[in-house]
Amino acid sequence: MSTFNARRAVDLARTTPIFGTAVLIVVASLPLWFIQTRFILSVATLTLIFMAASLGWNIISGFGGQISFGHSIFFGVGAYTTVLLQTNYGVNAWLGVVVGALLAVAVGLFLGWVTLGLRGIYFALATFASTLVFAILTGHFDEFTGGEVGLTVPLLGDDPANFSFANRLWYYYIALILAALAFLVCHLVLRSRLGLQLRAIQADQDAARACGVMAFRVKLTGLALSAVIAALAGAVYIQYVGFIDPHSAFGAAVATQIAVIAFVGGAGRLWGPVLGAVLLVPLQQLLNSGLAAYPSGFNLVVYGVVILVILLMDPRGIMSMPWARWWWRMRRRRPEHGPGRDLPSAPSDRAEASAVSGPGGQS
Amino acid sequence: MTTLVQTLLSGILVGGLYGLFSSGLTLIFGITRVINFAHGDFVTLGMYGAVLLYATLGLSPLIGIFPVAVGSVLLGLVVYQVIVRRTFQIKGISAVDAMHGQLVLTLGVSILIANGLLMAFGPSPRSVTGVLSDVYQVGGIYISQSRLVSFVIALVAFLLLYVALMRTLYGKAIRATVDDRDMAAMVGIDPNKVYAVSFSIGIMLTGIAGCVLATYYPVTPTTGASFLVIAFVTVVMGGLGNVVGAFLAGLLVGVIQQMTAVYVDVSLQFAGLFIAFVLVLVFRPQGILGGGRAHA
Repeated sequence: MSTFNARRAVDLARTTPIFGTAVLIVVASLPLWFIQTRFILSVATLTLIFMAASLGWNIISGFGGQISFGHSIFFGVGAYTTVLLQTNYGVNAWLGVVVGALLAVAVGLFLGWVTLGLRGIYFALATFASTLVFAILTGHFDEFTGGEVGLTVPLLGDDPANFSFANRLWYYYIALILAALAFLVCHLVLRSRLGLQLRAIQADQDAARACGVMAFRVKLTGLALSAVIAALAGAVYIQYVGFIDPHSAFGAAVATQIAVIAFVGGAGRLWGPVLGAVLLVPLQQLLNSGLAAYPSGFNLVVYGVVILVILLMDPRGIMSMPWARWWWRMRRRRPEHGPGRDLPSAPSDRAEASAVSGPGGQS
Repeated sequence: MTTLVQTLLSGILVGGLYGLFSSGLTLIFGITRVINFAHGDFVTLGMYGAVLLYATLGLSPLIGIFPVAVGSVLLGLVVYQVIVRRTFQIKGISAVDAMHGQLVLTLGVSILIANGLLMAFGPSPRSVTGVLSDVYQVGGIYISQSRLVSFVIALVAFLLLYVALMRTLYGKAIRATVDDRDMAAMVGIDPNKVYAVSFSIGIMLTGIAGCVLATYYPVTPTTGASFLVIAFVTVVMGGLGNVVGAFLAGLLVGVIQQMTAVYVDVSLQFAGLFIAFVLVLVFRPQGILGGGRAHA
């Protein structure tokens, strides 16, 4: 993912709308033929919510290369804002969602202003420490936030005007819309000037700046955009699950979960978080319920082993594995590629990068 | 006044252990450039090692240090050979991708260890009780024996590491690799060997720190997360790759934590530390001790 690769982005951008729409139609039709039980519905909804959060993460951390272990901050801010406004001030839940997203942008801009000057691993560490600070502070100021005990969304029964539905299927479709929007945003970002600049920064920040990319401003924009999506995911999460505490909002587990989904699928790849979420979230939910008879912790041991096995096969995630490359070639179907494109001796990413300036690069 | 001295002292005493496991992390980072996200869990493993040895064999953690150290070295070797090395071996992987891979892989190891411990020991806190339980009183200041002895052990272990780095051939090879790994490779230092050795020594120090920490600090499977951040705070404050800096910063971190606990609020002790961490990162990313250049 780190190789700056304009060709691949252009190729994918061409087929993504068709392919994406097809996937969307299939996922939207799932309740008709696949989702038969409450359990599957719940797993599918959570998958879509975390997919959205991870897609948001992908903008700044995947495309931009600024690895964040603090997206739980935005997730948590989105979740806490809507429920706090609802319980303490009687604000409409939908409005709370919007306010949460705006607040997350504010937090993101401040956090980014402080930390985005940091390079590489330092940014990751700073965001990780920040999310733990949020967790501790939320737990500490318990008169306002409910403390370690957490908060419960008021039970309103069937009240669509207040984000409360008796039919759980509604939450599935809301999560689906959210994930689809997040995907669309990622797709558009990838095609836009912002995406190009983010990817240039990811490949080589100094070179990008030398070419006139305002690195700090671009990263800040990316982070803000990323924060909105994560906050919306958090807000939908709390309205769906109905309960939140500092640990499940800002804790290390959520912080790493969002990043791990993207890493396992393929960070910096448009479809990476989608693939990662579809694989990991159901796996985790299945293990939670399926291994309930075993000592607690066994489910996550299995989960950890799966993550390790996938990343040992390729540390760049599933999208970089050989079969995924084959799949791409099938989707691309571009006969004008010269035979020199995939030199067996050269690493494939490099070969494609050099093809941009080669004779096949006039697309 | 007594409170202040008492706070300072307990900060320094616990800080010695922070310093020890942080010098393990900085050794690993300075040499292999691997961000070990499982580092806190290796501390926890050392602590559970002490608990287990005490509960089953009645072995005092002071003797338990040796089996725990051996176990930690072996574990470090396995983790390095199986997990970390893999990221260097993928064809055509860029340095950044390899680093991100290590990040997530060590995160996976962390999930594995924490939950393996949860399976084996359950979620309730465990500790080694009844060992070194004396309390000394000097001029109105209380010093618990376990904290004092732990600090002395940490100091001795650290000095041994320091002497080994300064005086032995391996130590010189390690320092040479920190300074310039390409040059070191050119004069015949096998980087892979140096990586493996420093990774396992780093884990060993961490295991030892955990083992003695168990004499007064109760351990749960999830304790590792806060140790991880403490270790990172310390390492960054000391300057990445600077072993002496890490140890000294450990003392400082211990004091900051205790000060926040006593003068602000116990439940905010880590928050103060983490905020200090972000500030240090932003204003002095090269560390607050020593100059810009990292040295062992």
